[in-house]
Amino acid sequence: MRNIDLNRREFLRRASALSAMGAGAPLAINLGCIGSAAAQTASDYKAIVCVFLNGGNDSVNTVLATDTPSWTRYSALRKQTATTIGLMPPGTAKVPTAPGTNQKLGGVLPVVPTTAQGTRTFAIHPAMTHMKAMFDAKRAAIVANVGPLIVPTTKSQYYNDSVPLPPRLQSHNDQQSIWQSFAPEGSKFGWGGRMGDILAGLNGSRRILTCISTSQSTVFLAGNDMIPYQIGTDGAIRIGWDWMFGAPTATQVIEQVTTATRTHLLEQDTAAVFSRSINTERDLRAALPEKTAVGGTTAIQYAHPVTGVMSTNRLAEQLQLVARIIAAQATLGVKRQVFFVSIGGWDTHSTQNDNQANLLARVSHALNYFDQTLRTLPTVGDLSANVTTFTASDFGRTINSNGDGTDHGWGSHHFVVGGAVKGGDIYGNFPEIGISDKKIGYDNPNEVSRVLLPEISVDQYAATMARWFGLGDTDLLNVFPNLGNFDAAKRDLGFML
Amino acid sequence: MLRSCLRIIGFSLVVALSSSIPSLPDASAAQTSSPSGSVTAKGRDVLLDLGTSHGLWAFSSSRNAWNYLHKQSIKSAVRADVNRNNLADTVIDFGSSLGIYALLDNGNWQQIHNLTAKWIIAADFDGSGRDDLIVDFGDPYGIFMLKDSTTWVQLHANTAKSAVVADMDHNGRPDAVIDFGDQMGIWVYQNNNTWVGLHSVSARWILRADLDRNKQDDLVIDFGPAYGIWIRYNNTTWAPLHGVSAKSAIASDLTRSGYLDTLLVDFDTQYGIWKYSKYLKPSEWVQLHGLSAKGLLSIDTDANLQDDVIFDFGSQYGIWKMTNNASWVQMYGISSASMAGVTLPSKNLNEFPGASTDSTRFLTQATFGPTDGDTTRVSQIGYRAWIEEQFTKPRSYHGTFWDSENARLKAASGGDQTANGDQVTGSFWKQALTGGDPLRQRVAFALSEIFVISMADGSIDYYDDRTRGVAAYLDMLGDGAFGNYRTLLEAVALQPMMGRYLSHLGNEKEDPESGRLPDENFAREVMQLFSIGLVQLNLDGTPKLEGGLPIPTYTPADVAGLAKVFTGFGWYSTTLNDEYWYGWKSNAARNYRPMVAYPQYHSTSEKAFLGVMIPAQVEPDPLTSLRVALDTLYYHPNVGPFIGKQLIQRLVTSNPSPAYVERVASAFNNNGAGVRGDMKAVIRAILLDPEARNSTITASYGKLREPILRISAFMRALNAKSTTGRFPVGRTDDPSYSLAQSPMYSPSVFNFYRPGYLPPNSASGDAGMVVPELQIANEVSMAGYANFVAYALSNGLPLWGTSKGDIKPDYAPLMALATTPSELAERINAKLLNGQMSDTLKAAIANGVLTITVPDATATNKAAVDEAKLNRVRFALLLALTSSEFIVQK
Repeated sequence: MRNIDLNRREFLRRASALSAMGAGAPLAINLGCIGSAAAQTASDYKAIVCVFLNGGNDSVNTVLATDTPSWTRYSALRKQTATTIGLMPPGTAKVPTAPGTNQKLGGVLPVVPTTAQGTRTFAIHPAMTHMKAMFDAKRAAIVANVGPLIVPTTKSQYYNDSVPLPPRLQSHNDQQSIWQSFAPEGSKFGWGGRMGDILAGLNGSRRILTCISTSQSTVFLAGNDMIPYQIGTDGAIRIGWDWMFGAPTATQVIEQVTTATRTHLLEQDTAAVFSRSINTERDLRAALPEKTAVGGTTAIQYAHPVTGVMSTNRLAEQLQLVARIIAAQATLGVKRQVFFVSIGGWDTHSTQNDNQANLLARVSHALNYFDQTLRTLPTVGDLSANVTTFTASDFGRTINSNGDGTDHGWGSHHFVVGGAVKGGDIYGNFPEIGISDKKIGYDNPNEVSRVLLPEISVDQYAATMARWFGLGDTDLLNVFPNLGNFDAAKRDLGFML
Repeated sequence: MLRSCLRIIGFSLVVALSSSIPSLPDASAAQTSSPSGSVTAKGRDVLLDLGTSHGLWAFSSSRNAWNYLHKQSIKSAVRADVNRNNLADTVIDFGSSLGIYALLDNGNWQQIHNLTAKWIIAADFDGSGRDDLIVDFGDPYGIFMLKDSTTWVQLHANTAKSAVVADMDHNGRPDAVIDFGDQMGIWVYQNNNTWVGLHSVSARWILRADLDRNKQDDLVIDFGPAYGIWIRYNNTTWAPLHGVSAKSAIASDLTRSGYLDTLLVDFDTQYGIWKYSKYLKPSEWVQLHGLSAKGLLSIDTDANLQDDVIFDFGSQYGIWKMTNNASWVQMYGISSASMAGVTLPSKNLNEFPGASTDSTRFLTQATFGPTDGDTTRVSQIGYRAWIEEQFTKPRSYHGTFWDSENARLKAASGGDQTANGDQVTGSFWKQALTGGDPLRQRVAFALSEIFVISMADGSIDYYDDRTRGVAAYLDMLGDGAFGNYRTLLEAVALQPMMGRYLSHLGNEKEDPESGRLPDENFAREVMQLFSIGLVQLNLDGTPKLEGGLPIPTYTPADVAGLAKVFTGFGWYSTTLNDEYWYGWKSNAARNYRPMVAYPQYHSTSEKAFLGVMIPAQVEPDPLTSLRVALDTLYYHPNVGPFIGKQLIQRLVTSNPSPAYVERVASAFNNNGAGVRGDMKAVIRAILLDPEARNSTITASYGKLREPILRISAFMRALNAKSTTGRFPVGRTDDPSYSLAQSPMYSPSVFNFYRPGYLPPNSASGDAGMVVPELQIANEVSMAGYANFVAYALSNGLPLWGTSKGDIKPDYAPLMALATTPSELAERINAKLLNGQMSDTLKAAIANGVLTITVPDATATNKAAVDEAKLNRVRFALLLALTSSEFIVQK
């Protein structure tokens, strides 16, 4: 097993040569440097939407290699029985009465990437029918085996502790933080917020609407100047109503009281939240179109992948709100926005078959709903090529199973969707799925300690989108602390048009 | 060594007495002042002997709290460092029954001598750097010195009337001015070696001052009615001060000059108390009060370098304090036998709140919110005794409530409807709002945010009868609140709902054939969240560093090794076979009885984790594996600071000082009787610590109240009741329309917010503070909260559904103040803001209330009048409850 102490010493030895992973340090650039490069005078609108899968999605069952050697190994590992987590091979019909969920779901859905990877063939999870359609229509791309890395890392380098590694691998909250900000929990700035810092100038007086979250508070959208604006799926909430309790100026009095200036630091911050809430709600009140203009309640219903029962897809609900805000873009005069939405429940240590299927169905449905909706937005029309949506997650999961689930992993596969995406292809070498076993002389170079060793760093994944978004080279190297450690030719993975 | 001859200093007689207020000498030319002199007794705390019926008390100025020290009345007290650790102790002469004791800075009592004394003074007379005591043991013993608080040396065979400390020869070393009485007069024991006669006439009283502000001690001596009061300036010149003899006097620095340049002279009932200073304008003498006092004490209670004065005006008027030469406040209603300025030990005392708002502030930390009953009780018996009393309060069990509700629902629905998550939250709110054991409930809630399970995902699920297990889980935390951490850790590990939530229920040993390995979920979180955390910690909660980086506590290998321990634990059953393991058959109590070990599923291979190795087992022995694993976690040095700091954050303040964390962690490590993990000791340490009790609030002290606690404080302060007794609040986690938080519905095992949350671009974040509860206080949830409160004020709780308005606060006491808005605001201040409301907010509430018209009462409009008054109360409460001053608990 890898010795933590050795790794740290090695890391320290190399720290001077490489960007440090200290919280905040690499992202706290001099404010004088911001605004470099293009974007300050852009006339177009762009948005990036992060769909965060909280808990760590099992990528091994999300995108699969279906060529014979790959599938044989996969089936041996995960087994396709009623109680194990192996998925059915492509072409298998659904068996609604089967005892096991996997048989009910039927076979994995084949996808054919534009760029061949040897003789390998691929498919995605049976519940992701919409995603397959988007992939086929070249609206969605797959990025394979992404994960936090500081430098390109080979298996032997990992075991020899000869390169620095990201800290606290496999810890939920820390890995969520590292995906969002390249530092473990306690980090101050996320790359979404940092992009916002650089480009918020384009939004004029509407800076507050640069970084928006429909979900929980996360570091992703925190910047030097950026404060994430939190909004619920029903939009901004107005406090109070006219003539509350018989008081003619009730809402003004409430505003005065809740936003009062205080010297106590915690009180200051509490008042600041109220202030942002009240002021931004006023701005948005008139500008946001109604839900009915973006599909209303019907479009956000999805079918349960096994039972077919329709219910509200909470992820689609969040994306509906994002669509409404994007539709208000021209009215509000904002040009660059970073959104964060999330869906939880991915930590499938157990009952993975049912849970993951349901969750992936929601992701698939929601991303498709969003892509469709962006083509017919009220007021602004088709902005689908101006919005890029990507998935992210704490980590992938173990290649093996623990019975009816999987444990925490590292490398994972993700989807990027939008009109500006070079869809229909798989970016990055699809890893071998297997667990090395000295006893039988099998070694998987893509696997360490039963999890996938990422080949693509989060920096490269994110920087590809950030470049499209409008960041120049200098800014990219500032915002993505490890990007400079990767080959210049690979800093843009090429999945954006 | 006695000098038989004394120089007799001649002086002229002073002004003749008159029956009217004496005429006062002209003010002499003012001296130019020079910087920094010394102030009076540097202790800030007031020792008050309240006589044989009430005993010995002291008032802690920093904590605004009364401390009960001893049942016995005393003869005298003086401040000195007798245990030589540079911290002040209090030397107390209890009289002949007990002798002389010292109350040390650590709260322990130490006997100095079994004899009583006529008088005791303390200073570093011999210049050794350590306090010495000069003690007059009376006939036949004489005057002794306890040199450096260690060695007794006789100074004089005679006994004396009184003594005072002053540096007479101005050499930087204090001397003793001793009045031997009429026969021998006043002498100075100078530099610990020489006796120098000062005057042949004995005095009524002597005190040290620096009236001319030249940094050299002067003495003020009252030679009695025959001669009046004189000043011995700088040990060189005599000057008369006043012809009238006084009952008593003190020297004080009332003007922040840095010198003891003001005298308060008590001329007895005929003339009252006068203030004298050369520098007083327009007149050197001014009357301060018409009353005479039993006792006077000069003491800087608020540590602002300006003395305050304590006056004991006798049993009719009680004890008063004049703060900073300006404001008067009554400290206590009864008179004292004696007073002294001391420095109290910071712990081990039975403290009482100084004001009822100190009591409510304590209860805000220790319960779901203060109630009148609890406030009164704390004021009556003090903080420590209240805590001890809470440890013995009878329990109500969430499980019992769930069972009875289950039976009722089934009966009412013909078997269709059963209890579920709603009954768990109902029981939670019932106990939070009206339970008879508020401290236990509050601590259990804090524990539920560390040892998290949740009904929000499918593993436990809201609809299921598994929620009976959640009720049991809360009861288990209630046990743990006052139990031992080791017991709690094991109870958590074996609780079936935790087994479901973190998926170790039914976790099977490794299968080399399929490659399946045990589920690591619980093994990881039991380390990361429930015991040791991610990095090595010092006792004070700060991370240990190596080469500037934190040191991880465990590796993935440790997780994998520990995961093997948590295999083979499954549903409670008396038959340990596959049917019960997989749940095809079930014991009726399986949702709440602890999991049991099914040896056939327990891993027997070697288990290595955290430097410990459980060797391969021939026969599977799950209970031994479990014991070793939990003991290893329990004894890890991280637990005290890791769990202790989080409990401080949940109850008192988000950013405790490392010293505070260390005190609490030390209490965890050893409760004083050698026991580790005693939660009662931890609770005492957290709530009685000066950092919790200290009423001086800094800009970074305190925490945000999480939404559940905001609502509970509101409901408790207003005595809310549930019509049905079932408190059907329901789920409240929607941020747009509800509280963004629901008990037992956390979105993940990481609770609604993280202990280390750093708010971006915020005043507190910039100051390096963590503000955990701010993580769920955002633009949508704060608006949702404000509206939730408004609707709750309108209709009660819950806001909607068939039970709408079941829970209602009692507005009647506040309605009585609806027509006096300032008083209404002040009452809300006392009930909800612990007396800390700013004048600005009071004014805003009062003005806001006034915008609501209350119609003049007529014969027929009572309902409208009442509704308007009620609206005023509601609006006032809304403003208070949404103000940052309420939302932040400090």
